[in-house]
Amino acid sequence: MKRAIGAALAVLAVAATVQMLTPEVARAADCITVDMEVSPEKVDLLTDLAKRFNDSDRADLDGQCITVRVTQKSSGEGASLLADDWPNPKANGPRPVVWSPASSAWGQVVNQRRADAGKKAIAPAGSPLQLTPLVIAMPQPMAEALGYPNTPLGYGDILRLANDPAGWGAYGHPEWGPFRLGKTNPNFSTSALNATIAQYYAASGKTSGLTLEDLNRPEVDAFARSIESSVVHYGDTTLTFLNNLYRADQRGTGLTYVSAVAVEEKSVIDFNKGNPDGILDPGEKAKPPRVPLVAIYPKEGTLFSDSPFIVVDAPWVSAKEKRAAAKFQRFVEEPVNQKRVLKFGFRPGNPKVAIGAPIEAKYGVDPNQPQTTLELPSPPVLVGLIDRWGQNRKSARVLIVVDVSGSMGEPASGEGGATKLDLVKKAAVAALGEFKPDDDVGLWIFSTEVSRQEPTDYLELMPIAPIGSQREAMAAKINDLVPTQGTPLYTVTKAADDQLVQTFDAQRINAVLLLTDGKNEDERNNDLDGLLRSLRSRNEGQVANPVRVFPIAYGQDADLPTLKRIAEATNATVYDAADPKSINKVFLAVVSNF
Amino acid sequence: MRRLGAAIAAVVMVLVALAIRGDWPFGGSGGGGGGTVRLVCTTELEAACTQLAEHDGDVSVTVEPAGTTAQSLVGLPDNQRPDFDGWLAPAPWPQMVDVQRRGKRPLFAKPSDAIARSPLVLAVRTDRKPVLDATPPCSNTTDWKCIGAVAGRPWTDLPGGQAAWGTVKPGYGDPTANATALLVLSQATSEFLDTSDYSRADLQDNDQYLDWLAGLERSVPKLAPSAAGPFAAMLQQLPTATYDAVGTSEADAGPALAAAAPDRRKQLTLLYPEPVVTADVVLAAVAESPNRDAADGLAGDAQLAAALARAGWRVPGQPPARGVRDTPALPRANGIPADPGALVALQDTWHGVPK
Repeated sequence: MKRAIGAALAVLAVAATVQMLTPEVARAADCITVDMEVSPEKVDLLTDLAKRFNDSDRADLDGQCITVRVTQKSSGEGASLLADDWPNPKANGPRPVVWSPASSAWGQVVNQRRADAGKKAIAPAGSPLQLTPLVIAMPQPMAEALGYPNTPLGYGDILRLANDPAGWGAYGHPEWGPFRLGKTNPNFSTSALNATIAQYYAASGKTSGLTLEDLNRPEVDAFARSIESSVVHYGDTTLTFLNNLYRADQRGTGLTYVSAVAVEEKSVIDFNKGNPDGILDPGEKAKPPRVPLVAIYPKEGTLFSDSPFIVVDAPWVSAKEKRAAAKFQRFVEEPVNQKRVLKFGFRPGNPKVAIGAPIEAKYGVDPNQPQTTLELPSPPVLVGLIDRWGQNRKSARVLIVVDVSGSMGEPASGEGGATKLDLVKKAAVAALGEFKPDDDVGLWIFSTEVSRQEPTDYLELMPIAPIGSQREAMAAKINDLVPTQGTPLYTVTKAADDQLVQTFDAQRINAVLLLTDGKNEDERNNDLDGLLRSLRSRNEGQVANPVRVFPIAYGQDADLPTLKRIAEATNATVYDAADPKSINKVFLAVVSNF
Repeated sequence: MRRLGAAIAAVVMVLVALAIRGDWPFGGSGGGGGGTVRLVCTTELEAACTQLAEHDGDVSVTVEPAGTTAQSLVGLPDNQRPDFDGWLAPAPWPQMVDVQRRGKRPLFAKPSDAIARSPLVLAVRTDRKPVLDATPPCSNTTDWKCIGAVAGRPWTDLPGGQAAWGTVKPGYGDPTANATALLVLSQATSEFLDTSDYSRADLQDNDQYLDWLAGLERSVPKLAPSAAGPFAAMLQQLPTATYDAVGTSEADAGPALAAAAPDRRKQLTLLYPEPVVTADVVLAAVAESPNRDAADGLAGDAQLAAALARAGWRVPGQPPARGVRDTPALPRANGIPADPGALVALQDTWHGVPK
């Protein structure tokens, strides 16, 4: 009997061992993780495809399972991190095996910046996963006033209008006010990078061969400055504009918010479907806008966002991870998955899949356009162009308003005992460095009875003045901040907005950067509706002197819904810094608007 | 005692299982001991090489641009040998490496005869073709002589050209990096010079040619770098005229165009410029490789031949892939200069022209 049991056990042991060697069991062992960093406009799509891949039998390399993890980062931020060897993965997210910015141009920017720093290139050329051309999106009546669809329009036409002091009056529509251009920040946004390239081509009268010398030509420089002067505000993503425009459209005031925005074709489709940010939250129902956008495909040619699949050639990427990444790439390129790409409004990268719905006239786009492309400038010109934009961008006039209420003295968890205010001080001082010398910046703090004199709820620490001459002094003031009492949120918002409106400078982006960690705690002023009415009235209409209020909802207790309404009333956007550790990043994103 | 026997049997079975899975834990390679042939393939042969490696456990494959392989080999010291056994590439890339290793021992044995061939083609926008045909330098013959004459000119300068098309934009890739691109440039050069037997002097002492080449090169749009070649970019971005005319091989363009969605397929036409020039795939074994015989043997490997045919190459005795024609018949000679040094000279010349 004992012998029989022993033999049976041996057989079982063998069976178990052999079973352990089968692929199914091997999959249970540690998978090969492929971290993929993608630009925001395609994060939903890639997350979906990654899930399908991970769940399929395709996610296997030599018997070991593959897990693709998708996270999002703006292309510009990803480029900056890669240029710097992706420091601090704890804060910035895992070092990517695959990077898919919106455009291959960012790969060139990375490699050029690394070359400038004496480092090896790490962003090899990648194959396009999907394509979408940069277009100039305009409300249909405005485009028609310029001759759309019969007259071919180009950057030159649009940008000349931006320079016309008569604004829309020159086209018989003074009620639309001045021409207002929506443009994002090319340090972050691909649409902005492409639009800036196109703008410089238009300024130089070229469609190819843009050189550093061209950028330095006085007339090109003057043209660029002039165009930037018509910008409403910047920002890290075009979705801010589209969301704001959609809300303004629903109120019937869309035509006075922005006249034209440089966006990707996909965004025009999303907007016209009634889903301006391309993401439907639970319970959200798409409702087409009253006034649709139409895509102008510039007659000079345009640039494509080609979403390259770049397998990063860096020391942190192993050969096995590269092979695993290649398997995922092949999966994404399959026709069945490329049809999903199309559903999201992108043109498929695999030519086996026909361009079809929703890339069609009913969504304001034309599958037979664009007819021609602009050349991508050489990497040194690209980097020079971004640098030059930093000098030529519209100047800002910003009032930084910081909450110093008692709750700001609470510890920010996990930061070695630092308070929330400590982290804000660090982030704010760092953000001051992002302003150019002739930006006007002022500093207020607020808390109930923060001042002994009227008004007692806020205190001007630094008047609005060119930051170049007061950067260090302002940093010192910020570093001296201490927490005090309650949060008179509505009072200070109104007062800051009043201040900016009274001293409005049409040549600048006028904005309030409002940082708070709480909700209104001022019984003397609890009139949110009154505040919103006041803010909205100043931001609508052809003669509006728009002052944008960009709130930062800081920490878990901030009143995000209210701050969102405040932002939306001024056609700005709220920034969520619920995790105090994110405040550095959030500050930079806010400052990208200026 | 019997228990010990059972245990030994169990261990043996486990080891057998490991061997079957290729995870033999005591060194060597599960597939073929030290006999694995390490093959380097140029980018245009990736599909065929990958298939070969999947079917033949005795072959490992590395795929990289011809220029990358060539650059590392040219600089290899005389006392070192390549870390692979054979190079599968369009001719005459292996010979070009050896002619550039002046004063050093050649790295490669005599390359095989052509394993597979593909004629070079010009992919042109279908709607632009009649415009080119009506243009005097072309006169119903769209070849590189024609394209070189109109490259960079606004389409509106040509009879029937449209403003929306911008300028005439040719494409062929980087001839110092891509094997096919070099052959296309050689074809264009041969057409301009009216000979396929050109020399360095014919290129570099010929102002007319240098001007022509510079004009051609200036008109090639500088696009974002892509792992896909110019033809793939052209096809992907339709209807946008990323390029108006792209030179490549039939193997690259034919199957891709045949598989493309109908709306894209109809927008491109493949032309076979005369005289026909072919990309001929050869296998060059590393002369001092211990696996030289095995590497040489791959030239006659039926699986490789079938894989190349499936990838769009014309291989005698193998059914052609969809999109690969049986006309024009391929000439015996490949239409490339007999001296591989002439191709090196062409690369040098191309490198030197202003872009």
